[in-house]
Amino acid sequence: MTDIEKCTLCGLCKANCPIYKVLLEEKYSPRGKAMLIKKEILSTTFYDCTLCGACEVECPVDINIDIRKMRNKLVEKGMETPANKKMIENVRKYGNPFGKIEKGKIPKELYCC
Amino acid sequence: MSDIIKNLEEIFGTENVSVSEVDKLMYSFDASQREGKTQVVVWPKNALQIQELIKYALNANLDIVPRGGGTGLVGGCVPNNSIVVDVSKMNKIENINLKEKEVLVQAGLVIKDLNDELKEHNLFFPIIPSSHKICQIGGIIATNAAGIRAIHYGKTDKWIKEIQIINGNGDNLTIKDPTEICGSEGILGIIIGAKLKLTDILEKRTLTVKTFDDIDRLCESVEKVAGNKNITAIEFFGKHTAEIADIKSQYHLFIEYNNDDGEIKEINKINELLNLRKGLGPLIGSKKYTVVEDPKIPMNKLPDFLRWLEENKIPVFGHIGIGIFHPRFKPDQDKLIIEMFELVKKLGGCVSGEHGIGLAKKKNINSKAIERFKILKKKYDPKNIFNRGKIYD
Ligand SMILES: Cc1cc2nc3c(=O)[nH]c(=O)nc-3n(C[C@H](O)[C@H](O)[C@H](O)COP(=O)(O)OP(=O)(O)OC[C@H]3O[C@@H](n4cnc5c(N)ncnc54)[C@H](O)[C@@H]3O)c2cc1C
Repeated sequence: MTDIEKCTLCGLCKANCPIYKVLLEEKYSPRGKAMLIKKEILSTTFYDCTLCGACEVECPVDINIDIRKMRNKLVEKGMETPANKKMIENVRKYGNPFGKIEKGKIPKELYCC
Repeated sequence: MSDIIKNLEEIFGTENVSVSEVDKLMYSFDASQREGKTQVVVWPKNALQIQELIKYALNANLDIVPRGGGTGLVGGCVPNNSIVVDVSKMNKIENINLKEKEVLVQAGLVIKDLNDELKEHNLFFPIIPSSHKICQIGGIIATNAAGIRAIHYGKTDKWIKEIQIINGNGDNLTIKDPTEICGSEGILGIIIGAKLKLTDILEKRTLTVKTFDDIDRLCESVEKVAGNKNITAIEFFGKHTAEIADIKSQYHLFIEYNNDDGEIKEINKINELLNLRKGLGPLIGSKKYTVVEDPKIPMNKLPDFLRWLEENKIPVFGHIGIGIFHPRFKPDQDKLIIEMFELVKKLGGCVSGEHGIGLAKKKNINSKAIERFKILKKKYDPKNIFNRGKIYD
């Protein structure tokens, strides 16, 4: 059985998810993302995750939702978010995700992985 | 459809209404793993928006499904081409009255978040379902949830001073007697807030773990300790459950005390063991035992019930101190489930001890209970705009 097949959608993973706890909509929850994977639906929602692993800690079945794999699929299908594209461009060009950094100045837009 | 969206966006603002396929999927299921169909999702921020929604739904004859944490195990918030009202963003603590030991909260507040806030005042709200880290005040009122400490503190209804609910006419009511609303499973209105009673924090917690090879010895042990006022939880899991959880195949009892009587004193160890017990549902569910039941059995009939489960190799765990059990079945074990409910009836037990009826147990509920719900429906939601097809058809 794969990890996601083991998921019973109990929702305990929501308890400490830093994205869900702020945005409070089910699609941002790890359970929501597990449901998307079960249904084989690709969505930019997979970018709404800090990869912190708090969901795995809470999960009674130790499920690891493979967000990186889903992001790879999004990139393959050309479904990246503009923010993600920009971040990668910045890393390639400036060696950091924020873009050109001028000493003493805060970057206008903050992109993070 | 576009008319509906336009009207809802006027009420809630564009960012709090969604018809995206992803959002519709997200709100089409709950922890029962049943799936329905969402028409629109809305996230209200206040009572006025909900009242406006009801007025609109009455005219447009729409079905409204109230939803909290979506941890229900009977499909109570699974929609049927409905507008799902997710109250999660109404999650404020409005006032803590330390003198009276009571707190006024919005319905979307998560139980653990409330208790985290109350810690600094040495107070706590003692209804602790195993889902307490994610289920909400509105949800536990609507299901009259119990949980691991029910043997000491009772069920949710005991801890309610007032419920604020928007009924099927769009009236914002404050109800002092919780009896009618507690356990009404979202068919009477949308609970938007509540005044809750609080108690002093459990200063001391100790735990004893007992194991048994024999059902009679297990039940004798429960009987012996059940009346002890210092016991705050008596939790249980059976042999097959232990096997699935990779623990020695025995009956296990976890007895929590509010004094020094328990053998395990170290709080991290106690929490670790109770977390193991709280996670058993999803753990067993992940092994294909996806159907969960919650019969309540009279205490003097526990051995008969447990013996039947044992003979049929059904994994079980639960709140044995109050006679509520969670036997788990595989989806193709319908016949065994019917047999179990026949036994529950014969033993004088009831179909649902804490999860409610929702969609899952409609065929098991008795006509007297249905009559009661129908009378309440007439009183609070005469046009039937809330949670159609739940509890009864
Ligand atoms: C791992 C796990 C462990 C559990 N352990 C327990 C336990 O120990 N004890 C126990 O009793 N239950 C337990 N449950 C079941 C479930 O957590 C409870 O029924 C809980 O009370 C549901 O709360 P919720 O906020 O998730 O409600 P939801 O699942 O969102 O809804 C449940 C019902 O309440 C209605 N509802 C929700 N919010 C409102 C509102 N604001 N106004 C009106 N109606 C509303 C819905 O329409 C639905 O009928 C467990 C579930 C899981 C997944």
